[in-house]
Amino acid sequence: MGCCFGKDDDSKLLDTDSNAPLIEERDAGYRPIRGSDQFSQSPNGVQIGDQQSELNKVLQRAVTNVIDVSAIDSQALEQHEYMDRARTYSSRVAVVVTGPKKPLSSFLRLPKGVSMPYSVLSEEPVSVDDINLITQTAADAWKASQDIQVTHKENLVVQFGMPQN
Amino acid sequence: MSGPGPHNLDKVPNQEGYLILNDSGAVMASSGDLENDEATAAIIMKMIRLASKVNITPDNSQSFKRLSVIFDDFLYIATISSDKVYISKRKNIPKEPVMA
Repeated sequence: MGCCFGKDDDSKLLDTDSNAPLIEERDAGYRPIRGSDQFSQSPNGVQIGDQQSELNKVLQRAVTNVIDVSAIDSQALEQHEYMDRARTYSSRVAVVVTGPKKPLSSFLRLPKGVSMPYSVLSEEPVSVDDINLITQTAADAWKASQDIQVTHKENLVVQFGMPQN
Repeated sequence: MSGPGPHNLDKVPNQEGYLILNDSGAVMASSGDLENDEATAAIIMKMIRLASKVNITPDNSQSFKRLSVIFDDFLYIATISSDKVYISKRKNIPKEPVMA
């Protein structure tokens, strides 16, 4: 498109009218949309916008060409297939959501407890008498367990099948 | 730190702090001496879990209502409600002379 200015006179006279109008219009500020040199020459606002929109078109074309190839299958889903898949996925999600509760319950599930924690926590503490009772009872039980003894009555080891002399 | 729902735990008498834990032992709310006290929370949570294993009745239909950890000057009182553990630290004021 860019023409050689040395031959300008000749081309104006002899050549087809395709070159001459382009040169004149370029001077007037008009840019042809097509052309490989438009990215490198004389940037102004309108032209950058054009380039941007052109670039976007190219990108859009590439995107649709590339991505749609793999997405065609899912886009071509029938309505009932879509519903089936939705049902399958939601049921699996439900399984996953309810799943983690099992390890918790196996770990140890807390008892149901009380309905009014405030009233339970506000009650009087355990009385000293009760504590003393429990402490004394536990001490007695421990002492009693220490006193358990095994009394020897007969041989613990019995030999089978050995001829006794 | 505000707690989950109205629990009124800050109105417990002679209280020095409280903790609210979820069923995995994480601190949901705390206040006073027990503010963000995860160490105490972990210890009491272990005691709660241990106490939950104790069979009080033969058919195991009931569990403990309140767990008290009593020191000379203060005491921890813990209870469970709707899968949350409520722990209150209170001053230990023996009432025995008055009661007698």
